[in-house]
Amino acid sequence: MKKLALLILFSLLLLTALTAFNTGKSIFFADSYMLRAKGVEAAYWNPANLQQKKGIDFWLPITNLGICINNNSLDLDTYNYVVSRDTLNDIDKRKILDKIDGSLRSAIESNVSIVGFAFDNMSISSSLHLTGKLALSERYLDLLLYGNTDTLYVFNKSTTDAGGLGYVDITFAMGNFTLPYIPKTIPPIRAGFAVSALIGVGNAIMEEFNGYFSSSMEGADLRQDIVLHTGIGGFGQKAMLGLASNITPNLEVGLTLDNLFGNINWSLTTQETNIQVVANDIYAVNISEDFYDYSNETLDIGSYSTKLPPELRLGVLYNMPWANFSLDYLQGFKTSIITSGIGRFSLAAQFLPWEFLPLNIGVGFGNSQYPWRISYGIGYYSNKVELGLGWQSVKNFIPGYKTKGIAIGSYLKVHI
Amino acid sequence: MNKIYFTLITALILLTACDVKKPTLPSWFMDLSIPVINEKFYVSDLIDSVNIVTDENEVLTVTANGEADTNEFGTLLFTPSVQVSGFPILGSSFDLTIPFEDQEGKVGVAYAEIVEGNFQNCFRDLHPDVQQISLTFSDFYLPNNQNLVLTSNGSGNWVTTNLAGLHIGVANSNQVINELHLSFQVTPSMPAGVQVATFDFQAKEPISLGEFRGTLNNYPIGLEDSGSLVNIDYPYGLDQAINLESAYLQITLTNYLGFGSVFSGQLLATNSSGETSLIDIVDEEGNNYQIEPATEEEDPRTMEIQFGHNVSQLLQIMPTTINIINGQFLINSGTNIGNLIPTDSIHIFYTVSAPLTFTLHEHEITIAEEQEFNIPEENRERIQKNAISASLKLEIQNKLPIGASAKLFFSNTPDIDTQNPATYDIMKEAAINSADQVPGFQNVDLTLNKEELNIFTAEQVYMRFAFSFDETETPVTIHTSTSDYIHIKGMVTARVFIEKEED
Repeated sequence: MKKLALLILFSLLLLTALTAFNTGKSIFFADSYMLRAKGVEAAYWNPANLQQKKGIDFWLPITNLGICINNNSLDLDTYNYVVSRDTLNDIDKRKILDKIDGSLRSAIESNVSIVGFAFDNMSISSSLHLTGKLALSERYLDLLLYGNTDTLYVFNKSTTDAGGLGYVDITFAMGNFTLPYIPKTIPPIRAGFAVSALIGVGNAIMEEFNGYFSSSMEGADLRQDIVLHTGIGGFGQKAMLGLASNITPNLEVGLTLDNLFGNINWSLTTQETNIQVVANDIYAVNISEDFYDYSNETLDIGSYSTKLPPELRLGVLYNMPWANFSLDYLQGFKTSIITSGIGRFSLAAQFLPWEFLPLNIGVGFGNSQYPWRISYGIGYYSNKVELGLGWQSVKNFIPGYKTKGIAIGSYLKVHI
Repeated sequence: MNKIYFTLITALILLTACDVKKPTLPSWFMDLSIPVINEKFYVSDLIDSVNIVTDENEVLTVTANGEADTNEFGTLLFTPSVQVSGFPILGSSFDLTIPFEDQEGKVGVAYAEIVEGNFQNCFRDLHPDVQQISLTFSDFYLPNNQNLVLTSNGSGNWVTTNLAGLHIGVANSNQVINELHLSFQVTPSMPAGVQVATFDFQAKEPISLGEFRGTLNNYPIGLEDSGSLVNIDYPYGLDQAINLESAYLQITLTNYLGFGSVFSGQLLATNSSGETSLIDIVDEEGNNYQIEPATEEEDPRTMEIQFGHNVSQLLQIMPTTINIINGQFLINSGTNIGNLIPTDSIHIFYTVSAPLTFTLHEHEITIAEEQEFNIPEENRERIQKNAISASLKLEIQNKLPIGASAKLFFSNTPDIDTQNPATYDIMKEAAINSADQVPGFQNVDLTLNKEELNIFTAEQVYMRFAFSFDETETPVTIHTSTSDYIHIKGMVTARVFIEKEED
């Protein structure tokens, strides 16, 4: 049991060691960014918009980053409330558990730029992507707070899960191709593509998590089966296709299909860890030191792949002299550690009281797997330099006591 | 990179001016339910095939057995009481017949080895011409199977003849010797009618006989001191709470004697209070049991005697000992020839069986042994700090026809007196009904509050257990089938206080 606890703790530590997934600047707009990304960033959002009028657009190392840490249940207010209590009464316990909808889920996503530059209608870039997630069944907390007041507690992968993925992409993108054979009555449609070589850093995925704990007059039974795959060192690829069109001078629409052929094959070090804890018919009168069977077996296994399911993104951007507005819709084809099979909308606006001082706000509408969030950002713009800092609050309008998570992003681009 | 994140997060927190309180773990109460037991205790598990068995009707039966012997038969005393005085011996040869019977009329000898014995004879008034008179005993034999022959030169003195080593009669003879046949032969020969001497003979002292063949009548053989035929040790003073309904005594007799006998005796039962009960060992018609003799075909002879009709009378007083008193085997062979050797005996193997059909009456039984628990310091501290209350929930299915109530006494000092509340700290009581009253599971809740739990914060805890059966008006029987058991399920539910452990 101690080892199992350590494993869970390790998973948590692993999670906190992971960093982000989004490009830094997209955090400013709550990911309503498909038609806003220009320069190097377009390679990750819509390569159709790769078009440099002149010069080179540089992405400096590290300065473009984003990190998001969130959970679906707990906030600072709850934390302060809990730690300020000497003793938790039943109302306090219920207050904690009512905030958790079946599972306490947390995620961390991060993206850090390594290097990138764009010129003409192409770009070459590299960035580090790290993401991790942890889900802990509400029933564990129920057990911890109330004790085993029910006769049966079932745990499975739908409510308890953990995983992590880290990889570096080297991406080449070209865009601004005008699609031929388009009737003249239809505005020109730009197209682009991006191909990425993926270098896998590490991967951990829980293949199986099944368990139960029952306690009744018939005895106590416990079973927990965990199968964990870990891989270090791998290679893969993915591709993105993008389309964009200015329907009117002020209205632009776009579409991307990302993660095409997305796959990372883990081959350098791959292992499968099987953990099993079984105890049957436990009674106090017959309990002994070996009342349970515990096995922890780690085997070297052959290579395995992490699929990156395709994602479809639709976007619309409306430009005005003093502001612009965008609406994005993202639909993954399958749920994975980096994609969601449930679609979501995001809406963003950028206000330009002065051209050099963009003020940004965005709203990401949530779903059952993705808590809603709101973003704020401020930046500086000139022909040579762009920089900015933004933050995001999950399930609360501003980062504060009720926030379920925060994200921060920064960007720094140089144009010469 | 982490420093950058930390800086950014800190900046963000400062920006929003959130107050993050120092992380401290609050305490809380939680309820733990721990299954304690789920077990069926079968009556048949009590069977040890030695003292607790099951009978053909699957009734649990308490049994005890042992053995006893008569004394070895030893030497047989034959007292002939022969007296011949002044018998004139006439002529050259002469035959004389003398009655040779047991003075008490008990022993008739057809053949017997003489272990010890003698007789006296005397020849006097010898005729001057006679040189020697020889006397032949046709019924006494030397070890070489030659007849006993005595000679006399007429000294006129009594001569004692040691008979040890001689035997009377012929082996395997079926003819009882009632007379001694004596033959006189005079040397030299004398004319007929001339008195050549006067003969005196006497055999009055008992003759000890070894191997014997003949008849025995009105001959008793006593049992050795049988001691306690049965010692019954009732656990926990159970004898005070029950009355057995029936019991059986089976005696297996092994008779090595070639004589039948009539067995008589009495069974004396004594209980722990000194109360006694006495019954005759007779059959249902009131007759003594007849023991058949060993024969060539069946040696020794074995027979079984079953008592059942009146042994239960003994057990009404729940005896702790049962003795055979006045036990004897009386041999009356009549004219039938039997045989024996001194080492012959009668062996008794007995079995007392008491099917557990009994009537219960109210009597509290206190388990003599006081349980002592040593509570480790770590657990004592946990109980003191964390345990708020505890309850033991039991589900008991009693498939037996008896009910009982149990009491548990706890104390931090030894020598609990269940009758003296000053000697214990807490007492918990639970009642279990019989299967007739409640055929399904019965719930029993034993709850300990915080104050009562504090007993377990001491290093030593003492416990004593007492129980009493529910009184039954009619006899109940304990069976041993697979459906006769007590099923106990138990769950301890404890309310514990969770708090951060001090460093």
